[in-house]
Amino acid sequence: MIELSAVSKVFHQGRPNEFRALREVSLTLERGGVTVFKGPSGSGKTTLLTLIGALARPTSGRITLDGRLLSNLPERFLTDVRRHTFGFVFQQFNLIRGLTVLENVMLPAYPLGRPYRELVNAAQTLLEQFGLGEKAANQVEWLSGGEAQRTALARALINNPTVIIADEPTAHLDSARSREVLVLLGELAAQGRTVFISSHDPLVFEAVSVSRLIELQDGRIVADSPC
Amino acid sequence: MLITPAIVALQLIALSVVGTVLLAGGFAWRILRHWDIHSGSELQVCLERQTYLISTLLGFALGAELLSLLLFIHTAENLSSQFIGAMCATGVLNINAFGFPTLLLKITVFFLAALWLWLNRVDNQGDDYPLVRVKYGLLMVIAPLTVLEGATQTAFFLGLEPEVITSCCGSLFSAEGRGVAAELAGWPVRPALALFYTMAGLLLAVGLAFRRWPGLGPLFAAGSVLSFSVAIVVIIAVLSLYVYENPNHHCPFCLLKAGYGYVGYALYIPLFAATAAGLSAGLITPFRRVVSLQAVIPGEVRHLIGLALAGFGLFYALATWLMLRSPLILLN
Repeated sequence: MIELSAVSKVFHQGRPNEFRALREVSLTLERGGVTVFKGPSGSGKTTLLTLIGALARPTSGRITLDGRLLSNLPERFLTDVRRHTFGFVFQQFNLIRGLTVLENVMLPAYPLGRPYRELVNAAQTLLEQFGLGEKAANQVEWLSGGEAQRTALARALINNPTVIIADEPTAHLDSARSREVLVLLGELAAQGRTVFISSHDPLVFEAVSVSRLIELQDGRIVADSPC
Repeated sequence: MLITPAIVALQLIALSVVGTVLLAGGFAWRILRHWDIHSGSELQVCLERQTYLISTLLGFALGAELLSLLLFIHTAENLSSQFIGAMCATGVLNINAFGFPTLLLKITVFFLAALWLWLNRVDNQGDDYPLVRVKYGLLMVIAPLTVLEGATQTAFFLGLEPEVITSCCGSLFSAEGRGVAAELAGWPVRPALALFYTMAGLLLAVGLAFRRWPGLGPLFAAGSVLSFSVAIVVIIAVLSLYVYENPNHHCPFCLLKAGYGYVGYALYIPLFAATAAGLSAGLITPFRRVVSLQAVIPGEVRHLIGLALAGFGLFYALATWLMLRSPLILLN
Protein backbone atom coordinates (compact mmCIF):
# COMPACT_ATOMS: atom_id res chain seq x y z
CA MET A 1 0.00 0.00 0.00
CA ILE A 2 1.23 3.48 -0.88
CA GLU A 3 0.10 6.36 1.28
CA LEU A 4 0.57 10.05 0.57
CA SER A 5 0.11 12.48 3.42
CA ALA A 6 -0.21 16.23 2.69
CA VAL A 7 2.25 15.99 -0.19
CA SER A 8 3.21 19.24 -1.94
CA LYS A 9 5.70 19.81 -4.70
CA VAL A 10 6.99 23.25 -5.60
CA PHE A 11 9.35 23.89 -8.51
CA HIS A 12 11.73 26.88 -8.58
CA GLN A 13 10.84 27.62 -4.97
CA GLY A 14 11.45 31.19 -3.87
CA ARG A 15 12.06 32.40 -7.42
CA PRO A 16 9.81 34.58 -9.58
CA ASN A 17 8.86 31.54 -11.68
CA GLU A 18 7.84 29.43 -8.65
CA PHE A 19 5.31 26.80 -9.62
CA ARG A 20 3.24 24.79 -7.18
CA ALA A 21 2.62 21.50 -9.00
CA LEU A 22 0.95 19.64 -6.12
CA ARG A 23 -0.90 21.07 -3.14
CA GLU A 24 -1.31 19.05 0.05
CA VAL A 25 -2.34 15.83 -1.70
CA SER A 26 -3.38 13.01 0.62
CA LEU A 27 -4.15 9.66 -0.91
CA THR A 28 -4.15 5.95 -0.15
CA LEU A 29 -3.37 3.59 -3.02
CA GLU A 30 -4.06 -0.07 -2.40
CA ARG A 31 -2.08 -2.88 -3.98
CA GLY A 32 -3.34 -4.30 -7.26
CA GLY A 33 -5.58 -2.98 -10.03
CA VAL A 34 -5.16 -0.19 -12.53
CA THR A 35 -5.41 3.35 -11.17
CA VAL A 36 -5.62 6.16 -13.68
CA PHE A 37 -4.71 9.76 -12.87
CA LYS A 38 -6.49 12.04 -15.28
CA GLY A 39 -6.43 15.79 -15.70
CA PRO A 40 -5.41 18.54 -18.08
CA SER A 41 -1.79 19.46 -18.79
CA GLY A 42 -0.21 21.07 -15.72
CA SER A 43 -2.67 19.46 -13.31
CA GLY A 44 0.13 17.58 -11.53
CA LYS A 45 -0.36 14.02 -12.83
CA THR A 46 3.21 13.42 -13.93
CA THR A 47 4.61 15.12 -10.82
CA LEU A 48 2.46 12.90 -8.62
CA LEU A 49 3.65 9.77 -10.42
CA THR A 50 7.31 10.80 -10.16
CA LEU A 51 6.86 11.26 -6.41
CA ILE A 52 5.07 7.93 -6.00
CA GLY A 53 7.80 6.23 -8.05
CA ALA A 54 10.53 7.84 -5.92
CA LEU A 55 12.00 9.63 -8.93
CA ALA A 56 11.67 12.93 -7.06
CA ARG A 57 11.07 14.05 -3.50
CA PRO A 58 8.18 16.15 -2.24
CA THR A 59 8.75 19.69 -1.02
CA SER A 60 6.68 18.79 2.02
CA GLY A 61 4.59 15.85 3.17
CA ARG A 62 5.34 12.15 3.48
CA ILE A 63 4.98 9.11 1.24
CA THR A 64 5.03 5.61 2.70
CA LEU A 65 5.32 2.27 0.95
CA ASP A 66 3.85 -0.60 2.98
CA GLY A 67 4.28 1.47 6.12
CA ARG A 68 7.92 2.35 5.46
CA LEU A 69 8.70 6.03 4.95
CA LEU A 70 9.77 6.35 1.34
CA SER A 71 10.03 10.05 0.65
CA ASN A 72 12.75 10.75 3.23
CA LEU A 73 14.98 7.79 2.48
CA PRO A 74 18.61 8.65 1.79
CA GLU A 75 19.35 8.32 -1.92
CA ARG A 76 21.21 4.99 -1.71
CA PHE A 77 18.21 3.31 -0.07
CA LEU A 78 15.75 5.06 -2.37
CA THR A 79 17.61 3.79 -5.44
CA ASP A 80 17.34 0.26 -4.11
CA VAL A 81 13.59 0.58 -3.50
CA ARG A 82 13.10 2.16 -6.93
CA ARG A 83 14.97 -0.63 -8.69
CA HIS A 84 13.10 -3.44 -6.97
CA THR A 85 9.62 -1.98 -6.58
CA PHE A 86 8.88 0.24 -9.56
CA GLY A 87 8.93 -0.20 -13.32
CA PHE A 88 8.55 2.91 -15.45
CA VAL A 89 7.00 3.45 -18.85
CA PHE A 90 7.45 6.94 -20.27
CA GLN A 91 5.49 9.02 -22.73
CA GLN A 92 8.52 9.38 -25.06
CA PHE A 93 9.46 5.67 -24.55
CA ASN A 94 13.00 6.81 -23.55
CA LEU A 95 14.65 3.86 -25.31
CA ILE A 96 18.38 4.22 -25.79
CA ARG A 97 19.20 4.74 -29.45
CA GLY A 98 22.14 2.78 -30.78
CA LEU A 99 21.34 -0.22 -28.57
CA THR A 100 19.32 -3.23 -29.63
CA VAL A 101 15.84 -4.03 -28.35
CA LEU A 102 17.29 -6.79 -26.17
CA GLU A 103 19.98 -4.52 -24.72
CA ASN A 104 17.40 -1.85 -23.91
CA VAL A 105 15.28 -4.35 -22.02
CA MET A 106 18.28 -5.63 -20.07
CA LEU A 107 19.59 -2.19 -19.16
CA PRO A 108 17.74 -1.55 -15.82
CA ALA A 109 18.94 -4.92 -14.51
CA TYR A 110 22.67 -4.30 -14.98
CA PRO A 111 23.18 -2.51 -11.59
CA LEU A 112 21.69 -5.52 -9.78
CA GLY A 113 24.47 -7.79 -10.99
CA ARG A 114 22.36 -10.71 -12.17
CA PRO A 115 24.26 -13.39 -14.12
CA TYR A 116 24.43 -12.32 -17.76
CA ARG A 117 22.98 -15.51 -19.23
CA GLU A 118 20.04 -15.44 -16.81
CA LEU A 119 19.44 -11.79 -17.71
CA VAL A 120 19.45 -12.47 -21.46
CA ASN A 121 16.96 -15.30 -20.96
CA ALA A 122 14.67 -13.12 -18.82
CA ALA A 123 14.74 -10.29 -21.38
CA GLN A 124 14.15 -12.70 -24.25
CA THR A 125 11.17 -14.25 -22.43
CA LEU A 126 9.63 -10.81 -21.88
CA LEU A 127 10.13 -9.87 -25.52
CA GLU A 128 8.47 -13.16 -26.59
CA GLN A 129 5.60 -12.40 -24.22
CA PHE A 130 5.07 -9.02 -25.90
CA GLY A 131 5.42 -10.39 -29.43
CA LEU A 132 8.83 -8.86 -30.02
CA GLY A 133 10.97 -12.00 -29.94
CA GLU A 134 12.06 -11.62 -33.54
CA LYS A 135 12.98 -7.97 -33.06
CA ALA A 136 15.41 -8.63 -30.19
CA ALA A 137 18.53 -7.99 -32.25
CA ASN A 138 17.11 -4.91 -34.02
CA GLN A 139 18.18 -1.37 -33.23
CA VAL A 140 15.39 0.42 -31.35
CA GLU A 141 15.25 3.28 -33.85
CA TRP A 142 13.84 0.84 -36.42
CA LEU A 143 10.76 0.07 -34.27
CA SER A 144 7.26 1.41 -34.86
CA GLY A 145 5.55 3.43 -32.09
CA GLY A 146 3.60 0.42 -30.81
CA GLU A 147 6.66 -1.81 -30.83
CA ALA A 148 8.70 0.84 -29.06
CA GLN A 149 6.08 1.15 -26.30
CA ARG A 150 5.90 -2.63 -25.88
CA THR A 151 9.70 -2.70 -25.65
CA ALA A 152 9.48 0.00 -22.96
CA LEU A 153 6.93 -2.13 -21.14
CA ALA A 154 9.21 -5.17 -21.30
CA ARG A 155 12.07 -3.01 -19.97
CA ALA A 156 9.86 -1.85 -17.08
CA LEU A 157 9.29 -5.50 -16.12
CA ILE A 158 12.87 -6.78 -16.28
CA ASN A 159 13.44 -6.34 -12.52
CA ASN A 160 10.06 -7.94 -11.77
CA PRO A 161 8.62 -4.86 -10.03
CA THR A 162 5.37 -4.96 -8.09
CA VAL A 163 4.30 -1.51 -9.30
CA ILE A 164 4.22 -0.29 -12.91
CA ILE A 165 4.09 3.46 -13.45
CA ALA A 166 3.09 4.55 -16.95
CA ASP A 167 3.15 8.24 -17.78
CA GLU A 168 0.90 9.00 -20.77
CA PRO A 169 1.71 5.60 -22.31
CA THR A 170 -0.64 6.09 -25.26
CA ALA A 171 0.26 9.69 -26.12
CA HIS A 172 2.24 8.76 -29.24
CA LEU A 173 0.14 5.81 -30.37
CA ASP A 174 -2.86 5.45 -32.65
CA SER A 175 -6.10 4.03 -31.23
CA ALA A 176 -5.36 0.41 -32.18
CA ARG A 177 -1.87 0.50 -30.64
CA SER A 178 -3.22 2.32 -27.58
CA ARG A 179 -5.78 -0.42 -26.97
CA GLU A 180 -3.04 -3.02 -27.39
CA VAL A 181 -0.90 -1.33 -24.71
CA LEU A 182 -3.90 -0.95 -22.39
CA VAL A 183 -4.68 -4.65 -22.71
CA LEU A 184 -1.10 -5.46 -21.78
CA LEU A 185 -1.26 -3.16 -18.74
CA GLY A 186 -4.59 -4.78 -17.75
CA GLU A 187 -2.95 -8.21 -17.97
CA LEU A 188 -0.16 -7.06 -15.68
CA ALA A 189 -2.74 -5.91 -13.11
CA ALA A 190 -4.52 -9.26 -13.46
CA GLN A 191 -1.21 -10.96 -12.59
CA GLY A 192 -1.25 -9.09 -9.26
CA ARG A 193 0.86 -6.07 -10.11
CA THR A 194 -0.24 -2.53 -9.31
CA VAL A 195 -0.50 -0.24 -12.33
CA PHE A 196 -0.60 3.55 -12.15
CA ILE A 197 -1.29 5.44 -15.37
CA SER A 198 -1.39 9.16 -15.95
CA SER A 199 -3.34 10.20 -19.01
CA HIS A 200 -5.76 12.62 -20.53
CA ASP A 201 -6.70 10.15 -23.25
CA PRO A 202 -10.40 9.05 -22.99
CA LEU A 203 -9.38 5.65 -24.38
CA VAL A 204 -7.45 5.07 -21.17
CA PHE A 205 -10.23 6.08 -18.73
CA GLU A 206 -12.71 3.92 -20.61
CA ALA A 207 -10.54 0.80 -20.67
CA VAL A 208 -12.25 -2.08 -18.90
CA SER A 209 -9.23 -2.89 -16.80
CA VAL A 210 -9.28 0.48 -14.98
CA SER A 211 -10.27 -0.02 -11.34
CA ARG A 212 -9.93 3.52 -10.00
CA LEU A 213 -10.01 6.96 -11.57
CA ILE A 214 -8.48 9.95 -9.80
CA GLU A 215 -8.89 13.39 -11.30
CA LEU A 216 -6.45 16.21 -10.67
CA GLN A 217 -6.72 19.89 -11.31
CA ASP A 218 -4.25 22.62 -10.36
CA GLY A 219 -2.31 20.22 -8.16
CA ARG A 220 -5.33 19.02 -6.17
CA ILE A 221 -7.48 15.91 -6.30
CA VAL A 222 -10.94 16.97 -7.44
CA ALA A 223 -12.49 13.54 -7.97
CA ASP A 224 -11.70 10.00 -6.87
CA SER A 225 -13.96 7.18 -7.96
CA PRO A 226 -13.77 3.40 -8.31
CA CYS A 227 -14.67 2.04 -11.75
CA MET B 1 56.51 34.87 8.68
CA LEU B 2 58.07 32.13 6.57
CA ILE B 3 56.23 31.05 3.46
CA THR B 4 56.85 27.51 2.29
CA PRO B 5 54.58 25.25 0.20
CA ALA B 6 53.77 23.20 3.31
CA ILE B 7 52.77 26.28 5.33
CA VAL B 8 50.59 27.51 2.46
CA ALA B 9 49.00 24.04 2.22
CA LEU B 10 48.38 23.92 5.99
CA GLN B 11 46.83 27.39 5.96
CA LEU B 12 44.63 26.52 2.97
CA ILE B 13 43.48 23.34 4.73
CA ALA B 14 42.75 25.33 7.89
CA LEU B 15 40.84 27.94 5.91
CA SER B 16 38.72 25.41 4.06
CA VAL B 17 38.12 23.31 7.19
CA VAL B 18 37.08 26.34 9.25
CA GLY B 19 34.83 27.59 6.42
CA THR B 20 33.17 24.19 6.02
CA VAL B 21 32.81 23.62 9.75
CA LEU B 22 31.26 27.06 10.28
CA LEU B 23 28.82 26.45 7.43
CA ALA B 24 28.01 23.01 8.84
CA GLY B 25 27.82 24.44 12.37
CA GLY B 26 24.92 26.68 11.36
CA PHE B 27 23.23 23.68 9.77
CA ALA B 28 23.96 21.56 12.86
CA TRP B 29 22.21 24.13 15.02
CA ARG B 30 19.11 23.89 12.81
CA ILE B 31 19.25 20.09 12.98
CA LEU B 32 19.51 20.09 16.78
CA ARG B 33 16.61 22.53 17.09
CA HIS B 34 14.21 21.39 14.41
CA TRP B 35 14.93 17.79 13.39
CA ASP B 36 11.82 15.63 13.66
CA ILE B 37 11.87 12.51 11.52
CA HIS B 38 8.12 12.03 11.99
CA SER B 39 7.28 15.41 10.53
CA GLY B 40 6.68 15.96 6.82
CA SER B 41 7.08 19.72 7.14
CA GLU B 42 8.89 21.69 4.48
CA LEU B 43 11.69 22.47 6.92
CA GLN B 44 12.19 18.79 7.82
CA VAL B 45 12.23 17.72 4.16
CA CYS B 46 14.70 20.53 3.46
CA LEU B 47 16.97 19.40 6.35
CA GLU B 48 16.86 15.81 5.09
CA ARG B 49 17.93 16.95 1.63
CA GLN B 50 20.76 19.10 2.94
CA THR B 51 22.18 16.70 5.50
CA TYR B 52 23.75 14.41 2.89
CA LEU B 53 25.47 17.31 1.13
CA ILE B 54 26.70 18.85 4.38
CA SER B 55 27.92 15.47 5.67
CA THR B 56 29.80 14.83 2.44
CA LEU B 57 31.49 18.24 2.56
CA LEU B 58 32.36 17.71 6.21
CA GLY B 59 33.74 14.28 5.41
CA PHE B 60 36.25 15.82 3.01
CA ALA B 61 37.08 18.69 5.39
CA LEU B 62 37.64 16.47 8.43
CA GLY B 63 39.54 13.94 6.30
CA ALA B 64 41.89 16.79 5.35
CA GLU B 65 42.09 17.69 9.04
CA LEU B 66 43.41 14.18 9.82
CA LEU B 67 46.15 14.58 7.23
CA SER B 68 46.99 18.09 8.38
CA LEU B 69 48.26 16.75 11.73
CA LEU B 70 50.85 14.69 9.91
CA LEU B 71 51.75 17.58 7.62
CA PHE B 72 52.02 19.99 10.55
CA ILE B 73 54.49 17.78 12.42
CA HIS B 74 56.43 17.10 9.23
CA THR B 75 56.56 20.85 8.49
CA ALA B 76 57.72 21.72 12.02
CA GLU B 77 60.43 19.10 11.69
CA ASN B 78 61.53 20.37 8.27
CA LEU B 79 61.67 24.00 9.41
CA SER B 80 64.11 23.19 12.20
CA SER B 81 67.10 23.80 9.94
CA GLN B 82 66.04 27.43 9.46
CA PHE B 83 66.06 28.52 13.12
CA ILE B 84 69.06 29.07 15.34
CA GLY B 85 68.95 26.70 18.27
CA ALA B 86 66.29 24.38 16.82
CA MET B 87 67.48 20.80 16.38
CA CYS B 88 64.07 19.33 15.60
CA ALA B 89 60.35 20.15 15.63
CA THR B 90 60.54 20.92 19.37
CA GLY B 91 62.66 24.00 18.73
CA VAL B 92 60.33 25.21 15.99
CA LEU B 93 57.21 24.67 18.13
CA ASN B 94 58.99 26.61 20.90
CA ILE B 95 59.65 29.68 18.76
CA ASN B 96 56.49 31.34 19.98
CA ALA B 97 53.65 30.68 22.40
CA PHE B 98 51.37 29.15 19.74
CA GLY B 99 53.40 26.13 18.59
CA PHE B 100 52.55 23.54 21.23
CA PRO B 101 48.94 24.74 21.73
CA THR B 102 48.44 24.27 17.97
CA LEU B 103 49.87 20.76 18.16
CA LEU B 104 47.69 19.81 21.15
CA LEU B 105 44.59 21.24 19.44
CA LYS B 106 45.43 19.37 16.25
CA ILE B 107 45.76 16.10 18.16
CA THR B 108 42.43 16.69 19.95
CA VAL B 109 40.66 17.59 16.71
CA PHE B 110 42.28 14.57 15.02
CA PHE B 111 40.59 12.14 17.41
CA LEU B 112 37.27 13.98 17.40
CA ALA B 113 37.31 14.21 13.60
CA ALA B 114 38.05 10.49 13.30
CA LEU B 115 35.15 9.75 15.64
CA TRP B 116 32.85 12.05 13.64
CA LEU B 117 33.87 10.40 10.37
CA TRP B 118 33.06 6.97 11.74
CA LEU B 119 29.75 8.13 13.20
CA ASN B 120 28.91 9.58 9.80
CA ARG B 121 29.85 6.33 8.08
CA VAL B 122 27.57 4.36 10.41
CA ASP B 123 24.75 6.92 10.16
CA ASN B 124 24.84 6.71 6.37
CA GLN B 125 24.11 2.99 6.61
CA GLY B 126 20.84 3.49 8.48
CA ASP B 127 17.80 4.37 6.40
CA ASP B 128 16.26 6.73 8.95
CA TYR B 129 19.20 9.07 9.74
CA PRO B 130 19.67 7.29 13.11
CA LEU B 131 22.69 9.25 14.38
CA VAL B 132 21.98 12.60 12.80
CA ARG B 133 21.56 14.42 16.11
CA VAL B 134 24.56 12.69 17.66
CA LYS B 135 26.93 13.52 14.84
CA TYR B 136 25.79 17.12 14.55
CA GLY B 137 25.95 17.43 18.33
CA LEU B 138 29.56 16.26 18.15
CA LEU B 139 30.16 18.76 15.38
CA MET B 140 29.12 21.53 17.75
CA VAL B 141 32.05 20.44 19.94
CA ILE B 142 34.47 20.11 17.02
CA ALA B 143 33.55 23.45 15.40
CA PRO B 144 34.94 25.83 18.06
CA LEU B 145 38.06 23.68 18.51
CA THR B 146 38.67 23.77 14.77
CA VAL B 147 38.29 27.55 14.68
CA LEU B 148 40.62 27.87 17.66
CA GLU B 149 43.11 25.53 16.02
CA GLY B 150 43.00 27.54 12.78
CA ALA B 151 43.58 30.75 14.74
CA THR B 152 46.49 29.39 16.81
CA GLN B 153 48.08 27.82 13.73
CA THR B 154 47.85 31.15 11.88
CA ALA B 155 49.31 32.97 14.90
CA PHE B 156 52.09 30.36 15.09
CA PHE B 157 53.07 30.71 11.44
CA LEU B 158 52.79 34.52 11.56
CA GLY B 159 55.11 34.53 14.56
CA LEU B 160 57.84 32.45 12.90
CA GLU B 161 60.64 35.05 12.92
CA PRO B 162 63.92 33.63 11.56
CA GLU B 163 66.01 35.90 13.82
CA VAL B 164 64.50 34.38 16.98
CA ILE B 165 66.91 32.11 18.83
CA THR B 166 64.98 29.13 20.13
CA SER B 167 65.80 26.34 22.53
CA CYS B 168 66.44 22.77 21.47
CA CYS B 169 64.70 19.62 22.64
CA GLY B 170 67.48 18.86 25.10
CA SER B 171 66.37 21.67 27.39
CA LEU B 172 62.63 20.91 27.17
CA PHE B 173 62.69 17.11 27.42
CA SER B 174 65.22 16.84 30.20
CA ALA B 175 64.65 14.74 33.29
CA GLU B 176 66.22 17.49 35.36
CA GLY B 177 64.07 20.26 33.92
CA ARG B 178 60.67 21.63 34.94
CA GLY B 179 57.27 21.39 33.30
CA VAL B 180 55.15 18.60 31.83
CA ALA B 181 57.76 17.52 29.25
CA ALA B 182 60.42 17.21 31.96
CA GLU B 183 57.98 15.31 34.19
CA LEU B 184 57.35 12.83 31.39
CA ALA B 185 61.06 12.51 30.66
CA GLY B 186 61.72 11.84 34.35
CA TRP B 187 59.57 8.69 34.53
CA PRO B 188 61.60 5.74 35.84
CA VAL B 189 62.23 3.14 33.17
CA ARG B 190 61.12 -0.04 34.90
CA PRO B 191 57.66 1.12 36.08
CA ALA B 192 57.09 2.85 32.74
CA LEU B 193 57.82 -0.35 30.81
CA ALA B 194 55.77 -2.42 33.26
CA LEU B 195 52.81 -0.12 32.73
CA PHE B 196 53.42 -0.13 28.97
CA TYR B 197 53.23 -3.90 28.62
CA THR B 198 50.47 -4.27 31.21
CA MET B 199 48.37 -1.87 29.16
CA ALA B 200 49.17 -3.88 26.01
CA GLY B 201 47.95 -7.07 27.68
CA LEU B 202 44.86 -5.46 29.14
CA LEU B 203 43.94 -3.82 25.85
CA LEU B 204 44.32 -7.09 23.98
CA ALA B 205 42.18 -8.88 26.60
CA VAL B 206 39.46 -6.20 26.56
CA GLY B 207 39.58 -6.08 22.75
CA LEU B 208 39.05 -9.83 22.45
CA ALA B 209 36.37 -9.81 25.16
CA PHE B 210 34.72 -6.81 23.49
CA ARG B 211 34.11 -8.86 20.34
CA ARG B 212 31.98 -11.16 22.48
CA TRP B 213 30.48 -8.71 24.98
CA PRO B 214 29.59 -5.45 23.21
CA GLY B 215 28.88 -3.79 26.56
CA LEU B 216 32.65 -3.45 26.97
CA GLY B 217 32.77 -0.78 24.25
CA PRO B 218 33.29 2.24 26.49
CA LEU B 219 35.97 0.31 28.42
CA PHE B 220 37.81 -0.42 25.20
CA ALA B 221 37.58 3.25 24.21
CA ALA B 222 38.97 4.31 27.61
CA GLY B 223 41.67 1.62 27.34
CA SER B 224 42.69 2.90 23.92
CA VAL B 225 43.05 6.47 25.18
CA LEU B 226 44.95 5.27 28.25
CA SER B 227 47.25 3.08 26.13
CA PHE B 228 47.90 6.06 23.88
CA SER B 229 48.85 8.22 26.88
CA VAL B 230 51.11 5.53 28.33
CA ALA B 231 52.68 5.01 24.89
CA ILE B 232 53.54 8.72 24.64
CA VAL B 233 55.05 8.63 28.15
CA VAL B 234 57.10 5.54 27.26
CA ILE B 235 58.29 7.08 23.99
CA ILE B 236 59.57 10.12 25.91
CA ALA B 237 60.83 8.38 29.04
CA VAL B 238 62.26 5.15 27.61
CA LEU B 239 61.96 4.39 23.91
CA SER B 240 63.68 7.55 22.71
CA LEU B 241 66.71 6.71 24.87
CA TYR B 242 67.02 3.32 23.19
CA VAL B 243 66.61 4.76 19.69
CA TYR B 244 69.13 7.57 20.22
CA GLU B 245 71.39 5.23 22.20
CA ASN B 246 71.79 8.08 24.67
CA PRO B 247 70.50 7.93 28.27
CA ASN B 248 69.77 11.67 28.34
CA HIS B 249 67.99 12.35 25.04
CA HIS B 250 64.21 12.15 25.53
CA CYS B 251 62.86 14.07 22.52
CA PRO B 252 59.78 12.47 20.86
CA PHE B 253 60.31 14.58 17.70
CA CYS B 254 63.90 13.66 16.81
CA LEU B 255 62.47 10.19 16.03
CA LEU B 256 61.09 11.78 12.86
CA LYS B 257 64.56 12.60 11.56
CA ALA B 258 66.20 10.85 8.62
CA GLY B 259 69.15 10.02 10.89
CA TYR B 260 66.91 7.62 12.81
CA GLY B 261 65.32 6.17 9.69
CA TYR B 262 62.10 8.21 10.12
CA VAL B 263 61.14 5.61 12.69
CA GLY B 264 58.87 8.14 14.42
CA TYR B 265 56.42 8.01 11.52
CA ALA B 266 56.31 4.22 11.73
CA LEU B 267 55.55 4.51 15.45
CA TYR B 268 53.14 7.43 15.50
CA ILE B 269 50.95 6.62 12.48
CA PRO B 270 49.80 3.19 13.76
CA LEU B 271 49.54 4.54 17.31
CA PHE B 272 47.28 7.45 16.34
CA ALA B 273 45.24 5.34 13.90
CA ALA B 274 44.78 2.58 16.49
CA THR B 275 43.70 5.03 19.20
CA ALA B 276 41.20 6.69 16.84
CA ALA B 277 39.83 3.27 15.86
CA GLY B 278 39.60 2.09 19.49
CA LEU B 279 37.90 5.29 20.55
CA SER B 280 35.40 5.06 17.68
CA ALA B 281 34.71 1.36 18.30
CA GLY B 282 33.92 1.99 21.94
CA LEU B 283 31.78 5.02 21.34
CA ILE B 284 29.61 3.68 18.51
CA THR B 285 28.81 0.43 20.35
CA PRO B 286 26.06 1.97 22.52
CA PHE B 287 24.08 2.64 19.32
CA ARG B 288 23.83 -1.08 18.51
CA ARG B 289 20.27 -1.11 19.86
CA VAL B 290 19.04 1.45 17.31
CA VAL B 291 16.76 -0.63 15.07
CA SER B 292 18.14 0.54 11.73
CA LEU B 293 21.72 -0.05 12.92
CA GLN B 294 21.30 -3.47 14.50
CA ALA B 295 22.72 -5.17 11.43
CA VAL B 296 25.38 -2.52 10.84
CA ILE B 297 27.10 -1.82 14.17
CA PRO B 298 28.44 -5.33 14.97
CA GLY B 299 30.34 -5.47 11.66
CA GLU B 300 31.64 -1.92 12.00
CA VAL B 301 32.77 -2.54 15.58
CA ARG B 302 34.53 -5.78 14.65
CA HIS B 303 36.28 -3.93 11.87
CA LEU B 304 37.35 -1.11 14.21
CA ILE B 305 38.55 -3.47 16.94
CA GLY B 306 40.59 -5.29 14.33
CA LEU B 307 42.09 -1.99 13.15
CA ALA B 308 42.80 -0.86 16.71
CA LEU B 309 44.44 -4.12 17.76
CA ALA B 310 46.46 -4.29 14.54
CA GLY B 311 47.64 -0.69 14.98
CA PHE B 312 48.56 -1.13 18.62
CA GLY B 313 50.15 -4.48 17.80
CA LEU B 314 52.30 -2.86 15.14
CA PHE B 315 53.29 -0.08 17.51
CA TYR B 316 54.16 -2.42 20.40
CA ALA B 317 56.06 -4.77 18.10
CA LEU B 318 58.11 -1.95 16.61
CA ALA B 319 58.73 -0.34 20.00
CA THR B 320 59.88 -3.68 21.45
CA TRP B 321 62.14 -4.38 18.48
CA LEU B 322 63.71 -0.90 18.77
CA MET B 323 64.47 -1.49 22.46
CA LEU B 324 65.84 -5.00 21.89
CA ARG B 325 68.13 -4.10 19.03
CA SER B 326 69.58 -1.03 20.79
CA PRO B 327 73.07 -1.40 22.29
CA LEU B 328 71.98 0.91 25.15
CA ILE B 329 71.43 -0.94 28.43
CA LEU B 330 68.97 0.69 30.83
CA LEU B 331 67.80 -2.43 32.66
CA ASN B 332 69.98 -5.19 33.99
